[in-house]
Amino acid sequence: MNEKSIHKDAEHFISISEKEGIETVWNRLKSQEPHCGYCELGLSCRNCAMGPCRIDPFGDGPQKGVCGASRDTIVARNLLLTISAGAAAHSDHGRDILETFYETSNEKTSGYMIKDVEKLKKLAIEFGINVNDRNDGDIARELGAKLMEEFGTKQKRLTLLDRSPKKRQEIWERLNIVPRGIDRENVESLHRIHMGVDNDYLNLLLHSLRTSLSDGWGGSMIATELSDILFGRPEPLVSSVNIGVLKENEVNIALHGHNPILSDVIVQAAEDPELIKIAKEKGAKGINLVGICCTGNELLMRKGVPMVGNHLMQELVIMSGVLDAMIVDYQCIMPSVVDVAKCFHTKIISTFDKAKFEGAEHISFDKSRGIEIGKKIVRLAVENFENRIPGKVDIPDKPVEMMAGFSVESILELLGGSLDPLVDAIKIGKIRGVAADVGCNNPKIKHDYGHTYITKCLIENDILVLVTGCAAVANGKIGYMNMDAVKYAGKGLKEVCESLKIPPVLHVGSCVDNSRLLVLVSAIANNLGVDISDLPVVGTAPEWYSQKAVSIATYFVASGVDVVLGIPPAIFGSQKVVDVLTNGLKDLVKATFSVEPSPDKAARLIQKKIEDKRMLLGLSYREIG
Amino acid sequence: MMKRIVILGAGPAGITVAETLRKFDKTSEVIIISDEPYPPYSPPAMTEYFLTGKAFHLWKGSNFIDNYLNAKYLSGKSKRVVEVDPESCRVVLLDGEEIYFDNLVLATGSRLSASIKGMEKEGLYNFKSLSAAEEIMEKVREREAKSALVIGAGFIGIEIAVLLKELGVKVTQLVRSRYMRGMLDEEAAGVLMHIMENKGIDVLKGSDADTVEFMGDPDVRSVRVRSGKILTADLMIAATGIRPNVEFLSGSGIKVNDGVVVDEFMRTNYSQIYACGDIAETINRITRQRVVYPSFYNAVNQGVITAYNLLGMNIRYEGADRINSIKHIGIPLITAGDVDSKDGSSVVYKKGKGFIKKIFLKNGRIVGFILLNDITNAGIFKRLMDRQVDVSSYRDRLLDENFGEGLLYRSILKIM
Amino acid sequence: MKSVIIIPDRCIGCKQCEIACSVEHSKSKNIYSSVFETPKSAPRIFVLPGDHSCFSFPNKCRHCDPAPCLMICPTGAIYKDSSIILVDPTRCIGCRMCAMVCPFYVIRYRESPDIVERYVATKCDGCIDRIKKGNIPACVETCKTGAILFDDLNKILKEKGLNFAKKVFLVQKEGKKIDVLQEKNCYNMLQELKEKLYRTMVVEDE
Ligand SMILES: Cc1cc2nc3c(=O)[nH]c(=O)nc-3n(C[C@H](O)[C@H](O)[C@H](O)COP(=O)(O)OP(=O)(O)OC[C@H]3O[C@@H](n4cnc5c(N)ncnc54)[C@H](O)[C@@H]3O)c2cc1C
Repeated sequence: MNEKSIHKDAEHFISISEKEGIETVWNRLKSQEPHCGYCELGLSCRNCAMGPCRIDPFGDGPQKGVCGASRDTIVARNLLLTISAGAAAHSDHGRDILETFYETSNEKTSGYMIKDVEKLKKLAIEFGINVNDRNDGDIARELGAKLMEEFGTKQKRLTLLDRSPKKRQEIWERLNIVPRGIDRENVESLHRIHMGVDNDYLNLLLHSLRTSLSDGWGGSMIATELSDILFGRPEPLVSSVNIGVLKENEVNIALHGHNPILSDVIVQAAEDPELIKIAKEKGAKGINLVGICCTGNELLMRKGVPMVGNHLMQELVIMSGVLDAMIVDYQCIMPSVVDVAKCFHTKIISTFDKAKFEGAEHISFDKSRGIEIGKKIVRLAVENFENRIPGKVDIPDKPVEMMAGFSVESILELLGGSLDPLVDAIKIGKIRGVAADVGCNNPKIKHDYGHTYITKCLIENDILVLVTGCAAVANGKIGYMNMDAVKYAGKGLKEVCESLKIPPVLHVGSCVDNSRLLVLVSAIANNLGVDISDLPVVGTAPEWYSQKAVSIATYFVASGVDVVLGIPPAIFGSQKVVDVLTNGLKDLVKATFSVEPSPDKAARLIQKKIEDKRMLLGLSYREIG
Repeated sequence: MMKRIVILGAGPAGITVAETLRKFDKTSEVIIISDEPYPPYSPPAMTEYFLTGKAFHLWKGSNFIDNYLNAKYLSGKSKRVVEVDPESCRVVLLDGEEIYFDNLVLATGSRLSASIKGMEKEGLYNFKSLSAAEEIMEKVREREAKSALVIGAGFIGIEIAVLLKELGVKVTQLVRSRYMRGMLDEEAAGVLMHIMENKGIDVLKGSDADTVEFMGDPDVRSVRVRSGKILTADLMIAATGIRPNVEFLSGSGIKVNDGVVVDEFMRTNYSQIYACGDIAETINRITRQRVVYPSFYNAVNQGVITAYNLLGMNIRYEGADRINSIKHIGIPLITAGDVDSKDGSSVVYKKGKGFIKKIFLKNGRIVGFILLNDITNAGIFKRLMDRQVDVSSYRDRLLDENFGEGLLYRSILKIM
Repeated sequence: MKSVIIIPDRCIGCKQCEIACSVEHSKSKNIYSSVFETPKSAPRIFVLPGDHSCFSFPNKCRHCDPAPCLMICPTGAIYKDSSIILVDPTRCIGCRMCAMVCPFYVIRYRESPDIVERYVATKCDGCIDRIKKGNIPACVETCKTGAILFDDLNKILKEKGLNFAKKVFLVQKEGKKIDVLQEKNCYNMLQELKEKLYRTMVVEDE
């Protein structure tokens, strides 16, 4: 009776947590039920002190907020706030990378260098920087300064939008939703939400699109590009996943969060001979790093660091009893990890001054002393090895092999330097299309069930699946991301996978790396001379929970990719907003949102969308019932 | 002519009959007879009364009979009923007074029972009635009793042990098998024993607790237990069980089995005579077996039904419940139904920090439950048990934190 | 006579009635200060999740007649005042017998400002103080979706019946779709989606 997760390791720890009274996300969800219907519908507003206000969804009670805002205004305002928070998270992450990049170009950091000069130069050229006869530092410095402007007010238009097809850019211009500055759109969102500014739900929704675009083509894309330059461009590699990557006889350190700046130096620090020596003195065989969430994905993509789990595993992995430290940076880290850790010996170490956790040990990260701080943190973990509680060691599963490292560049390389083989495979229908399974976990849906169910249906039907974030870990863990998984693919996809030696599900990276998907679909569209919205490409987030996911979904749609969500967003209080998002946007940006919580129906919907696009492109298509 | 209704016994059963009658019938003559010299009281409230000294806990108040019931109240030792003659519709009291009735209600309750040698001797105390309790309390107040031996570990044994302990008496309790046998399973009984010991009560078990003889002459001074030991204390209190007060009915022709046999309208074999409360043998609501379940709830429920039928309403009694809440132990503990998990039953179990919850099921239906230190949904479980609702489809969710009326409401809708 | 009437389909689980109830039964009757009181006030109405949690239900005392809690109370602490079942906390000995027989589990045991030595039975008092002052119960006042009404039951039944009859008329005479018989609104839409989500939790594994 797998109720809460599809995975053996998760179910094992969930049942132990229940027996021992260790509170987890599932207990807390239960105690929050029933959820407030106003909030679920997006009909509550607590923006100002004339309120808080709520609109009766049934129509007999109040229909206006104190200020006079209608249900449509309130729902749209709330949605804009959600998207802004998500976009801000990605973009602030991007800014942190940018600062590190810039300081590195000024040689003011420790533990960082320009690793991918080729990519640096390519990016610099996109920003109109002269790269000939200049040293890397100079180029980087100039690029850094230019990128900072992308965040500000000077710009009238984000530079990287140029990567998108011309037709797409025209749509954005026509709708007046071309993102100007990354910070600017977010600040303007907050401004518009203030009482008495933007009260028109359609205008609010359009700005939602613009704000999300400033994430996808701005903050997130900059984060991805600069991470590649600083930490190396991902290349295909083989690693492993699930609780089994923890090693009983080594010091285990989990890296959790999203930003690779810190974790990259931790990787370096963990190789320090002196620390390894101390570990051995304490009785450990070595130091074992594992990843959780997107920090894990960043390390997996570039360094092959194995993955211990995704979002809903973060509390459970502590229960293995062998996790000597969990080092967290920011985003998606449940405050409760500190509480779970109290029942075990695990040390929770927070590292960013903007993301502190009550009860965790805080070691303020400073990029100018990167290596030194990295070592300090690793040492804490090593020293904690001896505090393990003997009876509590519990590693209930063996790791599964998982491939990763499919950046746009490495996919191109696999294809022999040109997109043509992929485009041809799509044209002749060996591959029907591409689906991006992205987004988080959410305890409201059985853990990883949505991701894996949908993926299975899609690859069976010759749809290549690209995954990022928690979706990647879900699919890796169930075995869809190694060469053995080719057997699950339909005939056409199987042929392609075998000839390219790739699994049917490709790991594209962390959640900021969804920007890679924008780059990839733009390249394919440009190759075919069409708009992104013409491509047989669909995005899905069956288990999303976070504001970042809403921002991603929105920039997908605004960029012309249909998105199928599994969890209903808080918009159903306004029929008008629902109509625009699920239908009206088709006329505006040629893509829409759908909400389909049933993974089975969602998979069929995705398939249908892909086949419909094929038909419009004049390619062979299948009737989907 | 005005009808005369005579009620024997002023316990919860008898008083409930009178009270319910008066809601509908203001004119009939009602006579209540009790052999205790007090206004009506509620035995479950006695412990509280002795702990706090506040008489208002004792239930309805001393002027209840005059102010509310408009009944004649004959009480005291001399008013004990010694004979009932159904043929001539007459009862005879100890002082010789004869009272005729149109309807008679037998509600004389129950008293201590034990089949142990020396049982009939003086100096053996019990806590079954206020009169009996006052005798104990007198000793305690006079400081004649510094130590007490409580023989038995049932409901009443627990109450008196806790009460005496609270009042500063050194208490030893003899627990032959386990606390609340028949009402608690071994695990819950074990927890209860722990609680009692933590309260400072000395618990003796097994052959040291198996009383074979009350010794002393003429008064009981000690007990001999199966292990051969002789135990002694200032106060010897028996709480070994109870049996219905039916002796005065012998030869009356009123049918008595384990208790007075009544039909589903609470009528005895004489249609003008009813019985209710601890004295009555009724049927178990669920199993439909004939039972005597002495409890406050059953006494009151039966009292109400008796009154309805005296009024000619023809209302059936649904059956007696085996359910109780154990008081004064410091934590809530509710037990109901069949908790002896014999064959054919399965258990839904949940144990957490400081609580144990068990639901016993047979054929997908609840037949019993124990809720220790977390009584969430107690009444809902009782309702599902009483109606023998098939809970198989949500069996595993019964002890979920979110189980309750919300979920049932929906499920009930689904069934419809 | 007016009484509190629950329309479960209208409950959206916002729990505002719980808060209003807590505030009403606090010493200060003021939301800002009530949260700092000891003992803390607590609600006597409970918004419970239904199946799939796509459904919620405001559970409160029905003021039964006859009331099992009143009958079983061995100290007479539970009494009736004009069709409202009330508890006198000073007489309550906390025996839990009322909770044992309450078929709806709406009696809880809490600290009472009047009683120090124990938790006492605490339940809905029908906002009898407010009613006496001519106000409506706090839960009713705060509920904006019409899930908790204070009205004459017969009147409500009549209104609902008429309303339904009108819809049936629309279907029969004017050929409207049978859908109009069901209330369709944005909350139903959400409920359907949530139900689908819930199903993923109980699917059989292949
Ligand atoms: C200490 C204690 C605690 C209890 N706690 C609980 C509890 O928490 N929950 C629960 O459900 N139950 C409890 N009970 C049991 C409950 O009190 C009885 O089941 C209930 O009182 C039965 O009511 P009754 O009217 O049938 O009999 P009784 O209460 O026994 O009343 C019968 C009355 O009739 C009188 N009488 C007897 N014979 C004659 C006669 N020949 N002539 C005249 N009068 C006579 C008796 O003296 C007595 O006053 C408790 C009992 C005791 C002793």
